[in-house]
Amino acid sequence: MSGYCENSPSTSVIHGVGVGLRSQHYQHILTNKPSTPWLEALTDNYMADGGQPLDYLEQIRNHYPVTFHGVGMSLGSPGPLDRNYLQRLKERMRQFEPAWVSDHLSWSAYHRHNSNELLPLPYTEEGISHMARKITEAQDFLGERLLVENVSCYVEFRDSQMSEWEFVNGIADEADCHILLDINNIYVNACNNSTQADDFVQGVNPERIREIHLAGYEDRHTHLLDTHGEAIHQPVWDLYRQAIERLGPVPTLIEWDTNIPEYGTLQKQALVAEDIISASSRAHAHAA
Amino acid sequence: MPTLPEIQKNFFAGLFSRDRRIVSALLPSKTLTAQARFDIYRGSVSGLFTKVLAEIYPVCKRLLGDRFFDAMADRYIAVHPSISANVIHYGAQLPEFLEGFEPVSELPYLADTARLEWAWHRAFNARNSMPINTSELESFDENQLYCTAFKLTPGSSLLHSVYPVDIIWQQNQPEVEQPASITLETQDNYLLVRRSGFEVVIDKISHKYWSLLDSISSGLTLGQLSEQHDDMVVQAFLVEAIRHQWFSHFSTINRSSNHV
Ligand SMILES: [Fe+2]
Repeated sequence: MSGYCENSPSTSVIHGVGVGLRSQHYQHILTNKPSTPWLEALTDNYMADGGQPLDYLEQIRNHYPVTFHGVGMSLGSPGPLDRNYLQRLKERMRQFEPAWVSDHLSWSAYHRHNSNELLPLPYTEEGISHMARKITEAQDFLGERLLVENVSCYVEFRDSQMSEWEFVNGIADEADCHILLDINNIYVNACNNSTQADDFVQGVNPERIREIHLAGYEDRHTHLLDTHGEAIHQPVWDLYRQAIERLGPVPTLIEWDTNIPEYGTLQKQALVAEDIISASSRAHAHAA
Repeated sequence: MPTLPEIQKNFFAGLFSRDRRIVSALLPSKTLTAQARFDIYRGSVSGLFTKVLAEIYPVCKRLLGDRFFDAMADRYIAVHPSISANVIHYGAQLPEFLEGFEPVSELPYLADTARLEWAWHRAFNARNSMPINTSELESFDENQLYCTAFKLTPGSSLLHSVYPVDIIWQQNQPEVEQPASITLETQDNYLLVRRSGFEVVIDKISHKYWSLLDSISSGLTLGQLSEQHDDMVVQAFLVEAIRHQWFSHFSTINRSSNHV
């Protein structure tokens, strides 16, 4: 498959630790132009026909490289992909020229109805080829490779035949797409499903990874919930350090979606991630 | 072993109905039964749509109180599943739903308040537009004007209520800590909800202007309006409408082109 424009890590404008763009911070970003190297826009917030959010994104795009991150593609659904959604996404890609576009390894729609939620699939060969077929279809329509993200998953299917990371690798290979590795989701799933988070980080195919997500979960005692509503927890930082050691300086994003704090709080989280990246690069340079 | 389509069918049914066939396809964890684990998804789906409704209908939420609103939202979600990949389209039927929702019958103005909030949401997300260029219009002779039709700014809504929903709306904005008490005398209120630049504006207008705008939005030309209304009224209305930038577009239906 060679028809897609390549977004190779060496030529990409996306470097270092970015922040997820949220409406609460539009004014702050435009007024203060913080030194954040890139911003990730939640695509679904910019799908309206017009209005102020699109205008803000346009202004911000004039100052920052952006990536697109969406929840609406429903790449694992049983029915056909939503062509209207993809068409609108394509228009927005033309308008804002994001460095890349990502969505999730999940499904939301069941024929005419939509849960608008990131629902899991059993980890099976059937699931791999089903999802890969639809990713390929979406990539062909959009004309570029997608990044697909591992999701937080609260159930385990009896029929799963492999680990989550084998499932993710299988899809990425079969669809020839990139991976967005969410470290928080790996940790949440490991705790909820009694699996090993390290195995995922050591097993996932490094060639395919273009971006990392970091976020905070909420401890509900019987399980961890992926709320993106607090600071990144220590075990997630530890896992991130491991990932960076293995994968190198992959562009990393701080996600915060509920109880959104001041922009400075996000920048502080980004600094922690930057420190981890530079410590790892120093260690590698030293070893070499 | 159930097939993937079967699993997805049961999973989805389990989210929105009492169907629990999916649970037998799931494993328990150390702390939760398979059922309890599946219920995490039920909770997050209902939480998501409740949040979407609360963002579109903050005034209704304030009028009902958080707990009542959330309970109402649960009932709405059960009968009105989302049919769009983007939640921006969710919640359009809430006004009608409230009309038939017995527990809110003591708040007869609630459905119209919801109509106003949906109109606001619709205007906020509508296509951008510019006010019409009047210089071209000014050069028109009477005959051309007669054949001219106007378009309201994209996303405009014309609302009518026997309750003062514009005041209810204003008094229940977040910055108003203590809403003034509102006299609910029933009288006709005519509103135009529209975009001006990126702002959403709620204009209270006269019945006459409301029905003129209603005719215009159904495509009638100025000539056709003059057949139903006094010429002076139509002229005065046009001046006002242009001054308030209610229109974003006009076109002249060229009668001489009929024989082309
Ligand atoms: Fe993520």
